Amino acid sequence: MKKINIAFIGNPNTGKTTLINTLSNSKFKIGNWPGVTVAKKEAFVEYKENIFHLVDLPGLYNLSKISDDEKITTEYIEEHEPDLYVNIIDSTNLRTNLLLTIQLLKEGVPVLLVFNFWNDLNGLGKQIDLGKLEKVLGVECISLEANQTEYREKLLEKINCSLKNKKRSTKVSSSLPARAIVDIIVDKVEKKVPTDKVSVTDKIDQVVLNDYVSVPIFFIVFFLLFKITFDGSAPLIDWIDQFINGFVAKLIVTIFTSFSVPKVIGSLVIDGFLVGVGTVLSFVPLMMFLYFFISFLEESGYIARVAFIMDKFMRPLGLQGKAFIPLLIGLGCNVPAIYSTRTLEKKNDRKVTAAVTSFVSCGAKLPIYILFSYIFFPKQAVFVTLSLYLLGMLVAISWAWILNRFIYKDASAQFVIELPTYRWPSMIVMIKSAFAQVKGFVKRAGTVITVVVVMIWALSNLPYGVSPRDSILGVTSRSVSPIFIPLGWGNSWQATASVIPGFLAKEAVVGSLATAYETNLTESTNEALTDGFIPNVLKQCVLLYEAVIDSIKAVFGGLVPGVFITDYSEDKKLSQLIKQDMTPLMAYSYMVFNLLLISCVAVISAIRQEFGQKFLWFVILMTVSTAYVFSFIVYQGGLILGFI
Amino acid sequence: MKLIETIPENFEVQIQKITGDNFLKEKLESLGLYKGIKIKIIKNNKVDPLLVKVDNRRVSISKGLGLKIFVELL
Repeated sequence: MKKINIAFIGNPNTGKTTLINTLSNSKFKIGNWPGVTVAKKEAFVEYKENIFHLVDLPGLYNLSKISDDEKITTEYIEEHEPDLYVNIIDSTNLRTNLLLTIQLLKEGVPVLLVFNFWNDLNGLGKQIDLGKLEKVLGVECISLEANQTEYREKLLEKINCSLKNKKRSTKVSSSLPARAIVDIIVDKVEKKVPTDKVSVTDKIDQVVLNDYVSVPIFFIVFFLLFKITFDGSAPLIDWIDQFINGFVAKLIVTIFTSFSVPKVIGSLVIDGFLVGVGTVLSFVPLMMFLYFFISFLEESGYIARVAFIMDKFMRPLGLQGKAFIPLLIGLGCNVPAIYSTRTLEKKNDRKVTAAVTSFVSCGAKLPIYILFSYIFFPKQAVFVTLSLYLLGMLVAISWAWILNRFIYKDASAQFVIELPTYRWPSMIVMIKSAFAQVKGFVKRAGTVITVVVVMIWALSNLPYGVSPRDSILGVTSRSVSPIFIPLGWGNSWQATASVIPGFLAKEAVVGSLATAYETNLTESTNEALTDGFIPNVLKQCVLLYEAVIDSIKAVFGGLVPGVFITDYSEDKKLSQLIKQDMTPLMAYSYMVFNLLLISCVAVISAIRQEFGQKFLWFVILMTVSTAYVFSFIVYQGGLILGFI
Repeated sequence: MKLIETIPENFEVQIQKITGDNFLKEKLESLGLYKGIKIKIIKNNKVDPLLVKVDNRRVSISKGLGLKIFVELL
C-alpha cells in the first residue's frame, strides 16, 4: 500500500475537522468557533490500494502569518509537499472563502475544492455554477455536506481521481492581486436572488445577542448545563460505585478466597487499586455529561457569541471579549484552553488569559466537589459546587485585571471575530467528542492514577504492620500538614497526602484520598459474593436499567437541581471516615484550595510549551499562593463568622 | 466619510478607509473587511461590540477598532 499525504485547508468554521471525522471515524475535537484546530492533527484512511494520511491544518483566512495558530498552516505549506490539498469552502460565503483558494492556487500546488454547506445556498437565494468555476480555476470541485456519511464514498473517489490527474491550476497566475481575482470570479459564477427572508441565524441572534436578555440567557444556558450534568449523572455515578464495591470487589474476594491468595495482595487490589481507581472511575458519567454539553455549545456556534456578550464586562478589566472563550473551554479541560489562547492577537493578551485559565475549574476537579459537597452539604450540594465555579471565575477575572493593570500593560482590548452560522450539532459528533475526552480521563485512571494509588497504598502500609497513621505516608504527611493547619484541613493527614498527587492529575485527588482513608491491611471487611455469579450479573443489569431511567427522569425533570443525591451523603465508609476528620468549613476550604491550584502536569507542560519556563514558574507561584491565601481566608473568615 | 460606529443598525455601507496598525488591518482584511467592500450593520449599540455582515459572514468588531473604519452610506 502506498501512503498518500492529503492536507485539509480552509477558513475557520468551514467543517474541515467534521469532514475528516466523517472520512476516517477518528475522534478529533470539533467545535463551531474559530480556532478549534490550533495544532495540526492527523488521521489515516484506507482506500482501494492506498492509505490516505489526512492532515487537519488549523483554519486560516489567508496565507499571511498573523496569529500563532495560522503560522502552523503557513509553515506547513512552506515545508511540506503533500500529494493533494483539499480546500474546504463554506459555500454560503464564497467571496470571503475564495481569497485563500486563490492564494493557494498561486502557490502552484495540487488542489481539490470541496464546497461544504451546499444545501444552505437555497435558503440564501444563492446559486454557484461549479462547472464554470472548475473551468475558470482549472481545478476539480465537489459539493457536499461534511457531516453526512453518505458523501464519504463520493469524496474518497473524487480525491482518488484528483490524485491521478495531478491537476495544478495554471489559470490563476496573473499578476492581479488575489482579492481582485476573487471579485472577478465571484461575479462570474455566483448568482444571487435578493430575498426578504431573515436567516435562522439572524433570528436567533436577535434574541441571543439582544441588549436586555443576552446576559440572562448566558446564565440560564450555563445553569442548565450544570443542572443537567449533575442531576443526569448522579444515578449513574451511584450505579458504578455500587457495581465496583458491591459486585467487582466481592467477585475478587470470592476468587482470591478460592485460590488462597495472600491477604497482602487482596488488600493491594481491593483497598489500594479498586478503592482508588474505582472512586475515580465512578465519575465517568459526570465527565461524559459535562463534555457532551460543552461540545454542544461549541458546535452550535454559541461559544463565539459569548465573546460578543461578555465583551462589555471584560473591557473594563482590560481584557477583550474573545478572551472569555478560553475560559469557557477551560471548564472542560484547561489544556485545550491554553492552546486556544492562540486565537488572541496579542502575545500579552494570550499570557494574561492563559495565566488565569488555571482558576477556571476543569472537569477533573469536579469529582472533588461532588464528593465533598454531597458528604457535607447534601441538601445544597449543587449550589455549593456552583459557588466554587463562580469563585474560580471571579478569581480568574480579578487576576486578569491585576495582570493587565500592573504587569502586561500593553494588552489590547481590541478584537475582531467571526460569529459562525448556528448549526444544529450532530448527535454522533457530540457523543464522539465526549467519548474522546472521557477516554483520556479513563486512560489517566488506568495509568497515572493507578500508579499513584498503588504508591499511596504501599506508603500507607509500610513499614508492615503499623497503623496507617504511623506508616511512611502518615508520618510524612503529618510532618507537612502543619502548613495546612491554618487552612483548616491540615489535621487530616489523608487530605494532605491527596494534595500532592493532585499536581499530577486532579482526578488523582479523590483516588488518593479514598485509598489513604480506606486502606486497612489488617482487617479486610470485604465480603465474598453470595447467590452465585449469574444472579448477581442480572441484578446489576436491573440496577443499571433503573439508573438510566432515573438519569433520564432527572435530565427532563424539574428545574431545581439536586433532585437526586448520590450515596456519598449517606452511610458510605469513606463518607464516615472523612466526616470524622473534617467539618463542613474545613471541607469547603479544602475544595477552594483544590479549585485554585493549577490543574495538572499536562497544563504545566502546555504553558511551558507556549510561553516558556519563566512564565510557567510565575503561573505556578501565582496559583499556589492564590490557592493558599483564599483557602486561608475561607477558613479563618468562616471561623470568625461562626461557621464550623 | 463617516465612522462606522456612527451608523445605525440595518444600514448598508461601503468601506472607504481603514486606519490603525497593520496588524489589525490585516486581520480585518482576512475576514473580508477591506476598502470597497459592502457591509450591513447588524448591531450597533453603546456597550456591545459592533456586529456587521459581509457576504453571509457575521463579524464582530470591538468598540475601539470601530473607530478606525470609515464608511460611506449606500
